[in-house]
Amino acid sequence: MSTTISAPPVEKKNYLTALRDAIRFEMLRNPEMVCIGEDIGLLGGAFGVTEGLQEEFGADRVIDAPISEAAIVGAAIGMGLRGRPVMVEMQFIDFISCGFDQIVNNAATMAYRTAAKASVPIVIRGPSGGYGGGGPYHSQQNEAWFAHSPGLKVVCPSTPRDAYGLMVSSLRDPNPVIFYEVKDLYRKREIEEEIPDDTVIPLGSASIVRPGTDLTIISYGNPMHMCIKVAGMLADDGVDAELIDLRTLVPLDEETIYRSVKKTGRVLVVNEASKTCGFAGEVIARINENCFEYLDAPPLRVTRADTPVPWVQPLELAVLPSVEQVYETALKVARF
Amino acid sequence: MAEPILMPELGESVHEGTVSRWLKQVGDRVEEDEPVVEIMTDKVNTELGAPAAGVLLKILVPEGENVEVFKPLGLIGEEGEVVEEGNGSGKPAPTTETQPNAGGQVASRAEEAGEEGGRASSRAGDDGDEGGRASSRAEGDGEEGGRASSRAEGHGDGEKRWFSPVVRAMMKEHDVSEREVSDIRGSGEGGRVTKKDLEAYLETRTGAAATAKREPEKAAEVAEPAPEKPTPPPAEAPKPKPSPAAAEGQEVIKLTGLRRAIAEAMTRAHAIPSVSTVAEVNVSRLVEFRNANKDSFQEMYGVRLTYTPFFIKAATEALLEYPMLNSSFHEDYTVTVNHGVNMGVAVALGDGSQGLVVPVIRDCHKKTLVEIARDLETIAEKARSGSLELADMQGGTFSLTNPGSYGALFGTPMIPPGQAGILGTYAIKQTPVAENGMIAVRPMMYLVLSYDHRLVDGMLAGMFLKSLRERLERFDFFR
Repeated sequence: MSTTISAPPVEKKNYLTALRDAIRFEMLRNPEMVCIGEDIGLLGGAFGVTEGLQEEFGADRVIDAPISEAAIVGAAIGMGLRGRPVMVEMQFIDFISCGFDQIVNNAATMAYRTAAKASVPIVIRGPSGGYGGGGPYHSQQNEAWFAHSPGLKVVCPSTPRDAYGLMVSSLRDPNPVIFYEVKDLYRKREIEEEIPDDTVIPLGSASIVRPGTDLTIISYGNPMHMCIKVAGMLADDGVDAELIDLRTLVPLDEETIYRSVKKTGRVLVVNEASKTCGFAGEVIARINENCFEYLDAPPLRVTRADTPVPWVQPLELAVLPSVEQVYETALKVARF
Repeated sequence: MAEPILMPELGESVHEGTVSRWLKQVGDRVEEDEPVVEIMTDKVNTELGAPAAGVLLKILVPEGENVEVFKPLGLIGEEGEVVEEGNGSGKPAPTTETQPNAGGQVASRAEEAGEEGGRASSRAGDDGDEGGRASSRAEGDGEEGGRASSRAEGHGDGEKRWFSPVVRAMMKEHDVSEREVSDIRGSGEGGRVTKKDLEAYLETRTGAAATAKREPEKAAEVAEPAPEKPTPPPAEAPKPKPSPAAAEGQEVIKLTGLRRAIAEAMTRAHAIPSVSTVAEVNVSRLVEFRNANKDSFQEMYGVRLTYTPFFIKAATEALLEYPMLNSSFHEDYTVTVNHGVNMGVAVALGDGSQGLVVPVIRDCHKKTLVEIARDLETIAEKARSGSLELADMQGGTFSLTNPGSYGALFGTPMIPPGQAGILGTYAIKQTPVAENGMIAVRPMMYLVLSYDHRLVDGMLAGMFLKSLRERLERFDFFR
């Protein structure tokens, strides 16, 4: 008679399931935690991130809100001030501008205004980015607005595991976090992966996706996957690129960036958002401030053009960063 | 009669130094005691004054080279005075050796100044005036002059060659001239010399270093054959075997300054027959105290409370109890036993890549925990800002290193020469331990004592560690 004990099969999770499981994990862990947003309860969210949560935790903890982002964020700040962590869903991250004042003037400044006696433990998350034919109202990547407002943390994962681990850290953070989910990746099969329940990824830590010696490519979010493709293409050209996924924009893991740039002397930064005052510009400015004497070529960036995201797909793809564009610009830096 | 500038004995364990900078050039007038040269030893930069008033006649040890204690660095004499040996006597080695260096210096100075053209050529003019002094010098000066004027031309054209910041920085670091770089075939856009091109070039240059040290093609242009000796002759010290040439994918770096001093000290440390003994300590009370008081400590005393002052304090008390660990072995089989404790504390510089110094906290046996914490902060700050003086590093009777600060679990520190032991304090970790027949989780850490086995046996080391452990375990600030 023998018994075989085997671990239960760990199922692979997609980006969306990883987010849901992280939120659920924290809801179970912390009975004080609340979720609020439009259609997140009965419907389970426009994309299904919160599916099943209202059923499991009740309508008091998973709240269907009226269509007013200002009211939603305001209510979340109020609950947060009473010590309850709040997950706020923006149906699309584009709509966050309706709650802008509450975020940048109230939530972001609270800890400063009260000498850190009060803090706002809220996470405002939502689907972001283009490549889906969503048009100008449903394709934005507006993280630079919030990275520019001191007091907010800004997160943008590119893999299911990072989405899980960073969501857990964000929900445990005492300060407001704006969490950019790449909706184009929500159900991508190719990137599904196993994620242990206790995965936690601290805010402010970048990851080196691929080590290399010739060129540093820095990105985050959806373009990260383009960069991975491009690194393969560059390898065929004899260029060994190091890939850095920032994962968190604020706080920024400057150490990892500088260490890499000091090694390679060449850098390309890719962000999906528009060019002027985009985060890529910030990264490059800091590299200039801290690594100038190590540079062997001018740092370049690939970004969206300075236009809204067009509805028509050929135009949308023309405006957004592409594999070809990243590849060509990377070669330009590598061959400088 | 020319008077030599001698390398003084700058400290007890300092056997040589590196010339980091000549503050005067050959031909410059100096007053007695006026600083002429900057010497670097153990991270301490010291300026040496002129032994007499006069003119700097000759530089015997160029920048970047090492010099042993009591050896001459240069000569001071009357203007126009002819130096007996060296110049004119057909011994080219010292002159040709210093010459390219002086040339490199002119160029780099001009670079720093920013407005190269005018400055470089006016300097070249200065040198030209002096050029007549010795024939071999005149040749070198001609070289300099030509170089400076070609630079000036380039500037005038507005066709100044462009180097990327990293290439610029590497040129400076490895003392490579623009002219040298312009001869490298660049692989970058428009033939630009990239970091990799320069690295590859430096490899071949280092490989050829055994014959011509600085500028191979320049050496070829000089009428006389390039000198065979890589170092100037003033010291009759045995020459180390030349390093192997760098193969592809390698580079050979010459250790200078602090790194070299560390390498030498470690070689001497290795000669001490040493053993390490380990003890494990439960630091619950210490951790509790620190967590509860670090903010108020900072507020009351203005000093950050880290664990190191506790270790210093406890080690000091244990050393007073076991003075043989606080002693120094001499080659004639005598021992100096110290009755007071000067604690050397290892401080890593920069991110750990810039070496390590061991400044000393004096008279720890007379100091309170607060005073030790304050002293520690002061020397650590001095170390980081590079403003330690030789006196700050001397007179240590025992040392402490805290690899726990970067999470190290366990290691075997090396004893600083002249001391009988060093204590390593390692990471504090929450660890399950058996306590009264039950498992409890406690903050535990390892203490490692490395000691001179000529003076200290295992038993004594064990007793010292036991005393230290008990002091840390029953720690009470208000005792």
